[in-house]
Amino acid sequence: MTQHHNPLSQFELKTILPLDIAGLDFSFTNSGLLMFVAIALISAFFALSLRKASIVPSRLQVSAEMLYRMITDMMKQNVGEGGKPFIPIIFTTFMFIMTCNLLGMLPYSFTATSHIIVTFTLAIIIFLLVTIVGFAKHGLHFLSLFKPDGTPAWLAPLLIVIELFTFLARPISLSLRLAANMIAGHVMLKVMAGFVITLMVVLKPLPIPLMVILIGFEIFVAILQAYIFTILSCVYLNDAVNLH
Amino acid sequence: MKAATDLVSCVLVGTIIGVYLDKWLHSSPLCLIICILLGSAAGFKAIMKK
Repeated sequence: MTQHHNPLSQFELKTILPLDIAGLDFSFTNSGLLMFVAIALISAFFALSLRKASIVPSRLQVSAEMLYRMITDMMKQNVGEGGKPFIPIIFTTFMFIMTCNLLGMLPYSFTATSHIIVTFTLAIIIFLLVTIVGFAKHGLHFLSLFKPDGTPAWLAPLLIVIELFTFLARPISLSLRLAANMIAGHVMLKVMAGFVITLMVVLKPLPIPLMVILIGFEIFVAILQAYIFTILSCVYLNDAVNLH
Repeated sequence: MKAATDLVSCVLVGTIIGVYLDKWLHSSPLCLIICILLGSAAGFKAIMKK
């Protein structure tokens, strides 16, 4: 019993297709499968909704355009005109994270974004993009990001090191936030569901309405965390594109 | 949640940098202590900025 009701067993990787290249484990797991499903769903959604693009749009087309409009507005507000070339990567990241989070809400599914290595990969892509764009656009002047305006000269060495640490902590903080939120929510759901089994007979129905509320809350968190990830990427891109 | 991850990640970065600086310079606990303190300072600064 304890083995099947372990709240953490839902995050276990299960190998579907064992694959070993040069001593490294490239096995196709349920995490990879869910990511492929997410990509297929996103592609199918946009292919279907924009197949017959018309001036008087269908409902599907409106939903696709609304998602795109949301990201472009976010970029315009946070980055300005200089952010236009980065809309594709931000939009892709948002759609991928949101679809992975929402797929994790299905029963017997797997949340790919609950593993730090997945979210860290996404975060390190954003981090490298910001760093490369910053150095390409401003050259060595980009390093002035580490020195806040109006720093006294005697305090500058200390503050530069501290700012460097906060800059390096960005990808870790981004990935940790997304993964921690996903793990916490799913473990909470599983623990609540476990109460139905372990509580005495009279109290058994009590956690069920709570579960309904929590599942609604989890769907909200899934979308909110994707939004937070994207808006923080926009804030970081703003540092690189428009250096103060 | 945001403040918590900011603080944790800053201290984590400080610890990692400290451990590797120690390995490089053979100055076992010194760099680790300094970098953890700097990392905590960076974490609190990141929280206060919000």
